[in-house]
Amino acid sequence: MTIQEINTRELKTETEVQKSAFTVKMTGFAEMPMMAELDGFLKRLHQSAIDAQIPEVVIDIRPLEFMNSSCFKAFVSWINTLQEAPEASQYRVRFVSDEKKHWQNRSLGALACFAVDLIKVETSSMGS
Amino acid sequence: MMNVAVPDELMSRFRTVSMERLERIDTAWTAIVHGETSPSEDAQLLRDVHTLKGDAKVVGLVEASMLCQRLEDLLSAARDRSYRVHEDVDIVVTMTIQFIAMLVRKRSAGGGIDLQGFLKQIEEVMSEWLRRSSEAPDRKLSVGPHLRVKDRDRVTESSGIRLSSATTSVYVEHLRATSTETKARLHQMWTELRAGVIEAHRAPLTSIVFGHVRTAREIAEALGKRLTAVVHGDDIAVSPETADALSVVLVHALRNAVDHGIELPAVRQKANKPPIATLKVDIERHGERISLLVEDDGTGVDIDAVRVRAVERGLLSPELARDAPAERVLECLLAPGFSTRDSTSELSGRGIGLDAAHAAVRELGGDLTLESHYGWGTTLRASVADARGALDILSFDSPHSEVRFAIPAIHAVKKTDALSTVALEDVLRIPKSDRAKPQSFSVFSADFAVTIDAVAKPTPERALRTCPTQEEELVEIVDVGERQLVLVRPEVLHARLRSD
Repeated sequence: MTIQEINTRELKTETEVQKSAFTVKMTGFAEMPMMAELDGFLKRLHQSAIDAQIPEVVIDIRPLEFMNSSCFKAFVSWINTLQEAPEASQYRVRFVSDEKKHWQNRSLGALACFAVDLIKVETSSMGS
Repeated sequence: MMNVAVPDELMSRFRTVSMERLERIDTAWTAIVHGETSPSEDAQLLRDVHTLKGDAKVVGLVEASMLCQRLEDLLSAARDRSYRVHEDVDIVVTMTIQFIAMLVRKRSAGGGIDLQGFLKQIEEVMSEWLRRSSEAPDRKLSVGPHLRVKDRDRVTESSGIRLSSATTSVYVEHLRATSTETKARLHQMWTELRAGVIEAHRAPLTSIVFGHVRTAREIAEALGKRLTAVVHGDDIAVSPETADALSVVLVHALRNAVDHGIELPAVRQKANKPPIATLKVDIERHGERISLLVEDDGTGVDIDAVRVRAVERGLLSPELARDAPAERVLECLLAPGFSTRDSTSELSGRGIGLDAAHAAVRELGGDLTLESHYGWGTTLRASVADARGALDILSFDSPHSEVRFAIPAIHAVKKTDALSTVALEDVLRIPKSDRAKPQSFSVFSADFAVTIDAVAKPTPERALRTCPTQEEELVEIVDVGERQLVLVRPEVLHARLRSD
């Protein structure tokens, strides 16, 4: 299974598909012009995760330099869709943030509050 | 949490209307932070949030109502800062709107929703934001239009970071270059990029001034006062820090002038003054300094009343209050919470304002003075250095190259006999040519220590951050006078050495 990635100069995704999890690494800058791209990608990711009945999606944003409010809205929308999905097909979402990037920890901390039962935030350094 | 049984039909209607309202709120907020809205739209945004808060309470959605209150707090604070908000604040406002939408859809904060956690996130962003701000203004002082520098006139913070980071890399490349020609070419490129970085972060001060003057006119009109505003000044672009500081001064100076200084037309005529007051604002650039003058021909400050209040407040002894010259007495008006008014108004007179303006300019190494002639008006002069943030550093010459390095002064430094030291040139891949006997210094904090080579013990200086990089970046180029220093962040250096 492959998921169509975002591959723009500003923002890139690399998705590793495994039976136990989809792991998405995001690189670059997720700003206003990238909102539609990100929204589309998260919809594809969600559908693929549901279809594959995978238990977990990992979003590694450690290499991401910045994400603005519009792109965070795309994440909120994704989480809302996931919450509304039948419980049996729901998967967990694990965000991995860079402990040194304050904005990542702050924003993901707020995002996790939308669905603490589904979202987990892990911090680690870029090297680990 | 629902305590009252609300008819389904009413609940359904509330949801439909509220979701539409939330969409309007979201759109308006996005437009405001991108500088694409007018004051009337901004007023509508606040009205929408307020109405939603009330509606949610009526239908028993206490949590949504509570969150609307927090949103109102955030929006008011943003408005007080002319919507020049940090991206953290933009994100938390946007997510608060989304959170409210979720509560409206779901009716209660059960099932995996951590409302308390989210409220804590808001609190943290708010307190950090207020700590970062040069002032924590009183909401009652904030009325009128919003003077945020429009996006088309400024570079986003993230783009600024990228520009600064790239510019820093070019400077380091220039240090690495071995041929004179390449070195000169890269230095030239760096000079141009750096000028671009500085320019990209500039805010057009004149439009900010006009915005504040427009507000002053609106306030005067609302109070039944008449004024002619005269603005002098070229189209000056300044750093955001300078724009923010002068914006604070303008808010308080103009509102004090309109509220306290300028009299009603009938009162002015009785005092043999023209019924229409004159409010003058001058901005000038003198090299790196920007001066601002706000002058009105209103009633002026009652110096004797200030003397009395200054004694009451313990700011002056009775003897000093009696003998001090007017300018010394007027300085008391800059003290926190000072006011000669017995009652407060919605606009000013609460004794806060001039102290905030004073603090804002002092933060940038500037000054603020007052001159007043009772019955004839007041003049406020502010002057600030138009520079990006200053940073206290410890600087030192390298024994291995011509580079002068620096570290932030928050770190402790101690001479050591350690043999295992770090030549910063090795880390940055800058060619070494030994020019002095190295001495070893341990740079440490509670969490780490690194030992570096220097010619002599680092000396304290104040540098200007003209090309700021992020905290996780190893270097930043800072200015001390005309000279550029390579600021190294010891904690990043330590982490890098450990991972190598």
